[in-house]
Amino acid sequence: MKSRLSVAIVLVSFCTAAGQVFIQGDLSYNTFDMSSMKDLQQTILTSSQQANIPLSAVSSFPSYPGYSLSGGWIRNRMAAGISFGYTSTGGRLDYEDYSGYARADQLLHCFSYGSFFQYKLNKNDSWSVNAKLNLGTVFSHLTENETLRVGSQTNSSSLDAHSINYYFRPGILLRRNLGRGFLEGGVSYEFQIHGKFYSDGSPSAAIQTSSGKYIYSEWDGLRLSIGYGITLGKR
Amino acid sequence: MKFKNHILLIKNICFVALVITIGCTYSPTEKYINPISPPYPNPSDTIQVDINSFNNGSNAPSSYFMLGGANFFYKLQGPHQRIKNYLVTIDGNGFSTGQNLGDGTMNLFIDPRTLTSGTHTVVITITTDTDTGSLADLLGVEAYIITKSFNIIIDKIPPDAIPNPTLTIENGFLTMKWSAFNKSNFYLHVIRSYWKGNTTVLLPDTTLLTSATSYVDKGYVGGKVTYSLALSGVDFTVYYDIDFDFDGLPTSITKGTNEVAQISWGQPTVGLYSGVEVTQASGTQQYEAKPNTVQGDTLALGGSVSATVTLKSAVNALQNFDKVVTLSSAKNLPAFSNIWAVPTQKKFIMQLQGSPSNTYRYDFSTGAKEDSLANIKQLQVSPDGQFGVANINSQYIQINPLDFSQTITITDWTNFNYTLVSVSNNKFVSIIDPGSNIAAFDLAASATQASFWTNANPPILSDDGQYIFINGWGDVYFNTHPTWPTSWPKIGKAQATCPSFGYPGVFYFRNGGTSELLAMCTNGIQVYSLGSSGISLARSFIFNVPSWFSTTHQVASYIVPGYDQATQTIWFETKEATNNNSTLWLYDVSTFKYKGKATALSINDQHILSNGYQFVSSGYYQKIL
Repeated sequence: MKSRLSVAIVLVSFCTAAGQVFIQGDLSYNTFDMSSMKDLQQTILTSSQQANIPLSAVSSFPSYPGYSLSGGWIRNRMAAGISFGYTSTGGRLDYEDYSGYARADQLLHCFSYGSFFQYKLNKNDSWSVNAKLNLGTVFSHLTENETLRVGSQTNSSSLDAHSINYYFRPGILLRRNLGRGFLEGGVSYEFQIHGKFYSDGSPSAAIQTSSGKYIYSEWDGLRLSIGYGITLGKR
Repeated sequence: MKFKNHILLIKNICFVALVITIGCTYSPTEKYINPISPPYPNPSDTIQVDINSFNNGSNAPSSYFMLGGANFFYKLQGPHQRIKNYLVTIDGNGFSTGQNLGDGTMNLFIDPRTLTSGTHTVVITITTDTDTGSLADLLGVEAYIITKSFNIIIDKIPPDAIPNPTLTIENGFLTMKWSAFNKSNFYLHVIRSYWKGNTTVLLPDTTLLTSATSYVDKGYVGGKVTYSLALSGVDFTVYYDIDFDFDGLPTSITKGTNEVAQISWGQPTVGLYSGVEVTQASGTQQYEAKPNTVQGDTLALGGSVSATVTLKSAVNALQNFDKVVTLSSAKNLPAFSNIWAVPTQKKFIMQLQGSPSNTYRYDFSTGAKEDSLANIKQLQVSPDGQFGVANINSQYIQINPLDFSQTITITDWTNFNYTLVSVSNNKFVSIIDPGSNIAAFDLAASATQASFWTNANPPILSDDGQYIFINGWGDVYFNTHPTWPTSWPKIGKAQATCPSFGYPGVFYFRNGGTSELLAMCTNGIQVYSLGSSGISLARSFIFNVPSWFSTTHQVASYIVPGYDQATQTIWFETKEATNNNSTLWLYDVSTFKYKGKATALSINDQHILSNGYQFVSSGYYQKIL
């Protein structure tokens, strides 16, 4: 509801005004908090060791690139528009020897869409410094895969779950205008309001650990981005 | 930008987005690999199952013929990991895991009775850890499985019957022989039962090879035995029994001098023996196992001596051969209730037990019975044997004891319930009437009452009839007028000193009343001098042996002492602690000097010393002085 409202505001504000339209693609380097997921991973690790499965954490929700596509209107020193983003991360507990292997993967990816507002802070047309604020919704998906293979026998199980977060990402952009195109780099930090994970098979029940905790996808973190965009229409 | 170009741009953007979504999504590739080595593939190369401690297991037989329930012990040999599980199957069926004895050793008991005849396959499966630490090991699904199999063979059909075995003495040993069996599916035992009286003693079983056809018992030295050849197999037991008896030590017992038994035995002829043991009431003696004659216990008159002569087996004491020999006194008289010796006539007259009964007269020297008198209810004989009074067929009759002639019937006596007590040579007779009064009659003059005392105990007349002793009060009366009419003035009082309260003692007139009165008790004697006007204590004596207080030669209060006028001997009887027999202790009546002793049968018999002969009421007599 909030994301729909922000998109509506942008459209109302800019559709009535003359300006240039642009589209832009970004590649970003993302860090993630994921403390809830890390707790879940530790819980799995502990319970597996109690079951004589000597798992070891080989990956624990590392930083990973993200991708976004946005478009909007530029008028004077203001710009606004909508953006779509995608990123992923995950964790792995693993053990392997000659007799088989045991593995527990937590794979997370998310799609986000929302609106952004941008304000040019200087007057230089070639190099511009902009302040930017992104607001929107994050649709996260968790895939939990556990596999135990001893000899020729394999036991595996999986869990798919989803959650909805809301994000707020302020940042600073440096743009180099190159005719109709432009290069842009920026740094921002994303804050999120976290929603509980619900199993795909049982959407009404939030997932809890054995200790009663709910799990969340905490995508909060630093975003270092670089992008390229072009303006459409007359200059 | 043309529209086509926009479309193219959008396509490219979608393609890039798809590639990003699919190809650039985080997918972990890291692994943790534990570089451990797998276990050796064939554990049987290094681990052996040891069955019943055969070396390294590999030398264990592949088949076992079972004759009965058996324990199989199995364990792993060589370096191996922790044992997780045992499993035993017989013919593929789960049987048992056995009993863990510790140290990796398992005990498996198989009872062939629960299986059918035939060959059965036993498979022992032992599961051990690999201890590699691998994931499979940690999850308990990786193990070494070592198996060992063997066969057990069961045959429940006994061999064909054979003729009965023989048991004979061959080459000096008891030898059992039998025909060979046509099978070997059994244990073969020889069971030896030795008869000891009416019971048997079992010797430890001897196990033989099933192929054996003989058994030599070197420990048998004689006696009654039952040997059994026992075949014990699965679900069957067959016995072949044979009895045997052999006198391994010919033994005899005879009477030697002084009534001492002589025990003799010959040379043992069978088995391995280690000596001869003779056990009697007096103790046990050991001798060499060679012919011998040894002195036994002394034979008591009317009694017997018994000896157990044991030929000892050198192999097993249970195989000792016991030979019991017994020497008994030969009865030389009928059992009697009263006896009178007539030394001057060399006769004794004896009234048999029972009432009425026969009375016999015997010759002392030859022991020959001379005459008899029937239906005697009571009889008293004078000391010289010339005169007697008898109650025959409810009549009191004077008799001549020397020929048993019946001379005079006493018609004056109308009371036929007198108890005849004493008869003197001059035909005085003392009686007790039914009212416990006593009287004396002079039968030489008439049967008229001569004197009378009320409520008195049996009166004893002196041989010559001059004195009468009224027992109980110790009063002595003297007959001042030996012919009728007469009187019996009291001349004195004589008492025995008895340790038992209320026992008056026993009184005898020494030498027929001419000199002394003997007041005897069970442990001593008082001798009184007799005179026509009075009596006086002349001497007394208390004996150390026998003694009232002796623990070995105890004088019983109910045993009366006695006096034998012919040999001037007084005697006392004791009960021997060792055999409960009686012993007569003999002393000179004048000097109290010890003259010897004589053994006799049971204390329950009446013992009398008369004319130098010892008489036992159960029917024995012998000359001892």
